Amino acid sequence: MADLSVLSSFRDPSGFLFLRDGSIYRQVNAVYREHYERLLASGLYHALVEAGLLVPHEEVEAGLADAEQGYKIIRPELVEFVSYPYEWSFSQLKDAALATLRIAKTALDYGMCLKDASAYNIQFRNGKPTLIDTLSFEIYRPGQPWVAYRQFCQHFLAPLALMAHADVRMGQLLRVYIDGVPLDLASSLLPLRTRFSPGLALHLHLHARMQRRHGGRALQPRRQRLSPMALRGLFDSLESLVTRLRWEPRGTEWADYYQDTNYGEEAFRHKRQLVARFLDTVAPGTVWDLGANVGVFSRIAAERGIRTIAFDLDPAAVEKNYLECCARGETHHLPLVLDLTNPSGGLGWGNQERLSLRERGPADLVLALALSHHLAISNNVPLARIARFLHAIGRSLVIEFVPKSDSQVQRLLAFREDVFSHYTQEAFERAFSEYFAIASAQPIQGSARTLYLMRGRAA
Amino acid sequence: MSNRTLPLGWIAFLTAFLFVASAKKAHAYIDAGTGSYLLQVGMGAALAAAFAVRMSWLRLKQFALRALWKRRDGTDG
Repeated sequence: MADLSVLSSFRDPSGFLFLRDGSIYRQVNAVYREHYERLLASGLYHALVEAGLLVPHEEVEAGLADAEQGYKIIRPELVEFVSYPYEWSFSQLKDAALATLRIAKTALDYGMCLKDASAYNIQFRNGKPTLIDTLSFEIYRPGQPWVAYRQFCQHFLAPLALMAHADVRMGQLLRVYIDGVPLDLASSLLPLRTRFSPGLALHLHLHARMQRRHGGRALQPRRQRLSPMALRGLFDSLESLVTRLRWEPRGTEWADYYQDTNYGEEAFRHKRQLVARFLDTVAPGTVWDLGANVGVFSRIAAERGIRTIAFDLDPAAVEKNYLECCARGETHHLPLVLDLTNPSGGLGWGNQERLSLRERGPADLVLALALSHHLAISNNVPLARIARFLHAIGRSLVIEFVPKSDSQVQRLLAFREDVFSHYTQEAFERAFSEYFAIASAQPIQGSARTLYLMRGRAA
Repeated sequence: MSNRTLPLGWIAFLTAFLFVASAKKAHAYIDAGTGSYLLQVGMGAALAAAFAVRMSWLRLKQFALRALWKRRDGTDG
């Protein structure tokens, strides 16, 4: 079978990713040979892999994908689900930033330098931020400044500062600016008080100004020297600045949802039991929980060893869920920010560098609990379209129908005309039956709601 | 010093503030990253000094803590 190039891997002349027979490989190009050999011989590779900061790989005796440029083929351990910085909560981006700085500092200890500080090179593997690009290092030449300084500030520092000091939703700027938030934009959006923070004044505001003044100027790199001590000082300064950036999740729409619901204790317990039973029936390898809030139900799947992605619209809920995952040491549970009415699309060069949500699926099972009324009533999405979309991203479905008599639906209709005469349980079953076979429909005790287990029909 | 005169520190701070206060739009399409290089090199000495002070402080703290533990172990024993 012919090799397929991975469409996000084309910028670095050191090598590239490709797919062969369903496995992912990375070609190391001859131009990178010296650096790759130093990475292994210096002990840096083993130190980073041992610390869980770099994805492990094995060298394989496979034919080169591009024999003209190639030197070696490696097979990196597969990342189960690729997520992007615009889908991360504040603390996820912060942890990724701190991991990047730890990697840069460790590299320097071994006489190498991190040449690429892209947030897209970090993935959450077993709950921890890990560098997935093995070719991100080069041999350190004493005196050289950090080549990835601007990239680090654009990919991590600027969005984190905006989220912490302006508005947490500013993290979404990463969707628009694929190479990180431009520093002049961040500088103009940040409140005045940030100019009195020495770290932000230096690494962000002054950095933006220096780019404006000198950005297009050519200089002789050999003349610009930064001592190894100063380079360590730069990493240290960025690390303490990022560590001090904080954001408290409170006062947003969904973060207190479970304290503000019409569920009785009995209904809540019964719903948990039903979800657990349906999970055991299907035994999925992957679960996507849509509208997961703080992850109460996705945790039922994750605790069974199922790789679970917990999506929610609210950055506060995702932040709370992520902090809970960290506190519990969960390795199978990844919370992500996602607006289902406008899910992540294909971005970057040719719309193919960053995959859309659909391209990263389908999941073995989709959980859509207390969600359909928000989509159908708050967002006017017809039931048939909800069914079609859920069928495209999941092989099986556990979905809760919330009738109009439910106080949550009544609340949604409180200040608007009820034009949703088609929103009935019969219409719901009819619409979903086109795409799914209903395997089970269980009323949730102590509520008027129904939980369904559905199996996707062949497309 | 009279109340009407600004202290030297304030003058220095205001000058620095005015310097960083207005970052205008960067021209990303011709940006070779020179500004980032020059900034690092420009603040190199300060970064190195700050790092050296921090390391010395950490070493001093470690030394003091070790001495304290040793003394406490000696008293307990």
